[in-house]
Amino acid sequence: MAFDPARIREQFPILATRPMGRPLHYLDNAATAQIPQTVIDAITAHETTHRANVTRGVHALAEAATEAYEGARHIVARYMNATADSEVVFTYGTTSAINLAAHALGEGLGEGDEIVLSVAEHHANLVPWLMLRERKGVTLRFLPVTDEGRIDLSALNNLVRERCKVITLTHCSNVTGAITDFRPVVAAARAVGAKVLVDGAQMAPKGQFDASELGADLYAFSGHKVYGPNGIGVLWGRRDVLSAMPPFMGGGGMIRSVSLESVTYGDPPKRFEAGTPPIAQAVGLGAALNWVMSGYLDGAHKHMDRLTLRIIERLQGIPGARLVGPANMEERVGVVSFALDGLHPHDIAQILDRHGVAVRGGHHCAEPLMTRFGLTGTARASLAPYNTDEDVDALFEAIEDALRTFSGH
Amino acid sequence: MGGKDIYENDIMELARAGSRPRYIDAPDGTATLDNPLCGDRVTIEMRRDKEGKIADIGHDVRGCALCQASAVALADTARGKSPVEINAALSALQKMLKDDHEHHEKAWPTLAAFRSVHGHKSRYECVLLPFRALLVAISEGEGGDASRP
Repeated sequence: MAFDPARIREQFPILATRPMGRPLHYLDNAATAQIPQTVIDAITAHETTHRANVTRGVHALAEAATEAYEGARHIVARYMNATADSEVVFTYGTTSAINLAAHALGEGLGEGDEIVLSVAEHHANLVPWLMLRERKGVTLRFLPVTDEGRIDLSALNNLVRERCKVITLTHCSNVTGAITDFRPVVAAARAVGAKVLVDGAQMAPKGQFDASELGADLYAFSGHKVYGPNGIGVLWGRRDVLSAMPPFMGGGGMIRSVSLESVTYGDPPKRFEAGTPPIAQAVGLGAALNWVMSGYLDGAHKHMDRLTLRIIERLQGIPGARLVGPANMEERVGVVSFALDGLHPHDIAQILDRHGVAVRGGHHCAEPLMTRFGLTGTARASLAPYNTDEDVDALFEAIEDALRTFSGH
Repeated sequence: MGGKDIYENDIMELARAGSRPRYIDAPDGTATLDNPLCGDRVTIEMRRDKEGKIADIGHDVRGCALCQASAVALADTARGKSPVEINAALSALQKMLKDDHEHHEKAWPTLAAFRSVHGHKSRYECVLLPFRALLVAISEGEGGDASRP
């Protein structure tokens, strides 16, 4: 059966609403994807029948909550083909996952050690490393970005040197939509014994994947971009890598024993989950990943590629429009950033909102990438399987309105 | 979520004027402020007269139409005013954005153009940034703490 976005849309209650009395054309999925009813139901069911703290309680609710939380971990492990559930650390999002990794991997580093990242990184995969540089004096080396908006991997040979300890890159740019080919990255890392951390925030929603096969040592993603709730994220790590990492935050749940003289830490993943974790959010994430794996999205990629190409081609027909990202569908996702000559991205996004078209305008937490392209920001339309041709049509009617409003500006 | 259309004629006319930078000779103070939410940047220059009132204002806005419009409205509002009065204008503008009170536009008629921004909370800082920059420029000119007001 051919993929039918209508079958997807009917599962997302928010898509039937009319914010401010306008039909909703939600094209801000790279920021946060919407949530299907089945995930809302799973969270509600947990909170109304299984709500309790996890791990240490012996009463029935505590055991049920623990089972639900660990069940969610198992689903995540299945989604990314982990060899064991213990490779899955729950965090509060991609940002907290990368902060954890930067802190733990950086603990033993010092002056002269090098981290390789790229100009295309989201601030979530940039600022933690800038902070590490401030703390430890490590050297950061940046892969450039091509005019097409791809990380220029031809620079790997020059940048990855003997003292490189970590290569940390986005799997897919949240601005240009370009997918990174990790084969040369992993080869370069292995040659010098560096760890590979992948920011998978934009890539994880595409469906099941195998982080280990990708060659990653660590892989981070967020719940709210994979049709789950916010406040939950994942740091997957190879068992040996996680085992060698010191804890990030201290507190309950992550220790083996504590005395006033000393503390010993638990094994991964608990070592990295101090305090009460986001339990209902983990349950929601599990439900969301189950939904993605359920077969509803079979054929969705082709549908989204077609819509993405429609957006790109229509943009190319607008005088003064500038696409920031690849102009074809080769190794890219449905994230389309663009600038319109003389229009500020916030003004574009504001006028699109008149038409119920929700896009994002600004630097998308990627200021160095904006600088690379000589821009302060872009407007960004980002797709999900529930988007339709009507959404694309509404986007361009709204863009025409923006151009009319600012003609002669 | 805001309900009104922001881009009414008054704002668009101000924005057109504010899209081009305007510099002044021998400023007594200059300040550049960023809006961390969007990366916009406003530079405001000011010169004061013998009484300490604002004699002239220059601006360079790398920002949206609201920010551009605000920079022009700021020049109209602040010329001939003391720092105390400019602080009062900033307060009035903040209240007008938040509460949509007519009272404030009577006191500061040039600012009335921004009533249409009421309810669009994510855009308030776009309007306020030039005013904040002027106050920092004044503080800098006085050799004071140029921290963000």
